[in-house]
Amino acid sequence: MSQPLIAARNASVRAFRHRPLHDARPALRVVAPPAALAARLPLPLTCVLLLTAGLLALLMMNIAIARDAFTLSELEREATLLAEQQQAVDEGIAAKAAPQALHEQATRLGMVPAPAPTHLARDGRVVVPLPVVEEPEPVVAEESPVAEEPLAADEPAAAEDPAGAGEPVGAEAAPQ
Amino acid sequence: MAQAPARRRAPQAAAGPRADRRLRAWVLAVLIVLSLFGGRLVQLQGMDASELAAVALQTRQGQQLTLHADRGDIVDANGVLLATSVERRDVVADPTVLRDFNKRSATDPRPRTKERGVGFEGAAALLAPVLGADPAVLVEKLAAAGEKDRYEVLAKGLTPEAWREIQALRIPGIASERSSLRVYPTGPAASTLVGVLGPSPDGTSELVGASGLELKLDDRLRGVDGFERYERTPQGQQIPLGVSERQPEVDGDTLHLTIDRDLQWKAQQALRGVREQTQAQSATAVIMDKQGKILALASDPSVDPTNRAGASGTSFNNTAVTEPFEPGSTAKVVTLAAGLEEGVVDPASRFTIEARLKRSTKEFKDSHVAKNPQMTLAGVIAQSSNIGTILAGERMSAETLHEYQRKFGFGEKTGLPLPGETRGIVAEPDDYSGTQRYTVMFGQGLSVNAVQAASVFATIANDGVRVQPQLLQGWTTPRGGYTPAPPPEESRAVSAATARTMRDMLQAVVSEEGTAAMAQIPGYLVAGKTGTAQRYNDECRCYSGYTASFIGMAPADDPQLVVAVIVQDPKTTYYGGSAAGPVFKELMTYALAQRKIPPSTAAPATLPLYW
Repeated sequence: MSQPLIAARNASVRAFRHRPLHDARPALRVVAPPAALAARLPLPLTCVLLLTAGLLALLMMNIAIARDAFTLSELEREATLLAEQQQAVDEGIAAKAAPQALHEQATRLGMVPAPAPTHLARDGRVVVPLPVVEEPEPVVAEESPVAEEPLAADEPAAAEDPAGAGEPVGAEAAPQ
Repeated sequence: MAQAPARRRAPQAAAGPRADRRLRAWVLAVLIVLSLFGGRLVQLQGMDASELAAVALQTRQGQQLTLHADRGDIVDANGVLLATSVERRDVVADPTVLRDFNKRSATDPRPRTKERGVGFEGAAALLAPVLGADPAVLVEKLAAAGEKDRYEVLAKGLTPEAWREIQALRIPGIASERSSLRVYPTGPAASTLVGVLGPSPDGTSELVGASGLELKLDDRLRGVDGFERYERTPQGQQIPLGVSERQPEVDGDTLHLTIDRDLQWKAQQALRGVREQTQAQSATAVIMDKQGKILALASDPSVDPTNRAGASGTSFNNTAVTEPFEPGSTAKVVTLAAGLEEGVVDPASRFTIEARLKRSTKEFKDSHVAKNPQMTLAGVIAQSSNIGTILAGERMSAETLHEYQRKFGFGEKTGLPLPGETRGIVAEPDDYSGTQRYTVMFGQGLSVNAVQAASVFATIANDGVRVQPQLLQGWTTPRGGYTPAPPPEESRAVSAATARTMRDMLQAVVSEEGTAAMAQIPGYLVAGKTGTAQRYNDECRCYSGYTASFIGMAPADDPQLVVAVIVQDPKTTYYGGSAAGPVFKELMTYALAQRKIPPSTAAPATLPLYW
C-alpha cells in the first residue's frame, strides 16, 4: 500500500479518536431511492440488448468484409483480363510500328523514301538538295573543283609479309 | 410413526454399500473418460500444438504462389520499345485424369458417348482447334506418358487469350504454367545490340541474357520474384482477415539507351545492302553525336531474334565492339592531328612525295603515284599519301605519337555495356618490330574497334575534347524513378584550334581532289577520311583481303554527327571511298534530315593542296 493511503487511513482513525463524545450524531433518516433509476430499463435487459447489437454489428462487419473480399478477387480477375488485353494490343502495335513493318507497308502502298529536304536559310538562300540526275552542285556548293579528272582509284599496294606472323601488327602495307 | 421412518431408512441402509459402489464406479468411469479427454487435450494443446497448427495452416494456405517479376524493358532515346516481355502460357496435362475424360463440354451439354469421344481422344478433339495442333499428335503425346506420369506439356507459348479459351472448355486435368516471351519489335535491326535471351547456365527453365545488352546488363534487367500465401477456402477464395504472407515481386529496371531506333534500322538496312553488294564478310556502322552519344550501332550479319535456327555464333556479336581491325588511313587523322598539336607541321607544310620512300628495311609507296608530287599537308590527307604521312609523322618521336594514339582512345576499352569488347592492339614503341614505327602512322600494325575509330572523329568534331562513348542514358526503376547514367569521362586530346584545322583539312578528302568525292552531301560540308587497310585474317594468320572504311562528320563547319562505316573483306570493290563512302552518304543524309540539322552556312575550307 502506498504511503499517502496509509497516511490517510491513519489520519481518519486519529480524527475519530479525537472526536468529542458528547457531540452526538445527527439522526438517521430514510433516503428515498432516486426516481430516475426506476424509470430506466432493467440492467439485464440493457446488457442483452447491448450484446445483441454488438453481435449484429460484428455480423454485419464480417459480411461486409467477406463481400469486399469477393469484390476484390472479382476486380483482380478483371484487372488481369484487362492487362492481358492491353498486352495483346501493345504487342500488335509494336509489331506494326516496327520500322521494317512500316517500310514494307509503305512500299506496298507505293510510297518511296522522302528525298533530301530543301532548306530555306536564315539569310534567304534556298538550299536545294542534289537531285538524282547529274547536275551542277546546288546553291551552297563548294568552290568548283580544281581538277575535272577524278583521281585514279587508290589501289593498295600488294601486301608484304606481316612482320610477326600470329600478330595482327607489323604489316608494311600501302593503303590508300 | 416410529416404524415408518425406520422402514424407510432400512432399505437405504441395506442398499448403502451397493449404491456407494455403483456411484464410485460411475465416478471412476467418468473420471477415466475425462482424464482421457484431458490427456488428449494436453497432448494436442501442450505437446504437438505448434506442429499441428502449422499443418492446419498449410492445409488452409495451400501452396506458396510465386509472384513473377517482369524483366525490364529496353527502350531507345525516344522511349520506343526495343525489347519487352509478354506473358505466355504453357499448357500441361495430367494424363491419369484425362484417361477417364467423359465430361460434357460447356458448349455441348449432351452426354458424351464412346462415339463422340471419351478419354484422350475426346479431350484432344476439344483441345486441338485452340492449340492449333493435330489431335492425333496430342493423343500420341498423352498415350506416351507412363502409367503414373501426371505431367505432360502439350503446348508452349500460348497467348493468355488462347489459354482462356482452353479454360472455358473446362477439361479436368488441364492446367497452365506461366512463362514469358521476350519480344523484340525491331527484329534483326537491333539484335546484335540489344541481344537475345538464352537458357540459363544453371539448368533452370528461366531464360537469361545470352548476348548484347541482355547479357551485359542482365542483373539490372532481371527482377526478383516474390511469393504469396494466404488462408483460403476449398474453392480458393481468400479468407478475409486470415493469415497471409506476401513478399511482392520487384520488376527489373527499364533501360534507356541513346540509340535512335529509326537510325539503327536504317543503318542495318544500308549495311545489309552493301554487304550483299560487295560480298563482304561483315559490315559495321556507328552513328554518334560529337558528345559520344551513340545513336546507332549496327552490324551485319545479324540474327533474327524470333527465328534463331541455324544462326551462327558470330552473328550474335556486335562487330562494332567485338571486331578488331587495322584502321588504315583513317588513323592518319591521329598522326596529323598530333603533328599539328606538336607544332611540327601546319596545313601548308610542304612535302615532296617521291614514288618510293625507304625507311627501316622496307620501301613504302602510295597506292597511286601522285599527279603532282609537291603536296601540302592538306594535300597529303586529301590524297591519303602514306609517304607524306610518314614524312610528317617522323618529325615526332614514336613515344609522342603513341601518346596521342592513347589520348584519342586507342588501346583502351570504350566501356560500352556490350559483351566481348576488344580493346584493340596498340603496341608500345619499345615493342615495335621492324617498320612498325612507320606503319602505325597510317593505321597498319595497330588495331581498333569501330567505336574507337569513330570516337577519334567525334573528338575532332568536339573541338578536341574526347568524350567517352555512351550507349546507356539511364534507367527507370519499377517505382518510376529515373536514374541517369553517370556522366561520361571527358579529356582533351588536342586543342580546339588543331581540331578546327583538322576539320578543314578533312573537307578536302570529300572534294573532287580527294579520295571520297562520293561522300559529298549537297548543302552540307562534310569532313571525313577513307580507309583501305589490309585485313589481318586470324585463320591463316596472315593478311588477306581488305578493310574498307569511311568515317566522317557533318556539317564540317559546325559538326553534329559522326558516321563510321566499316566493310570487312569486300570482294567486288575494296576501296574505302567506293565501298563505304556511299553508305556513309546514305546514312549521313538520312540522319541529318531526321535530326533536323540545318545545312552548312560557312564557305568550304579551300586549303591549298599543292605548292
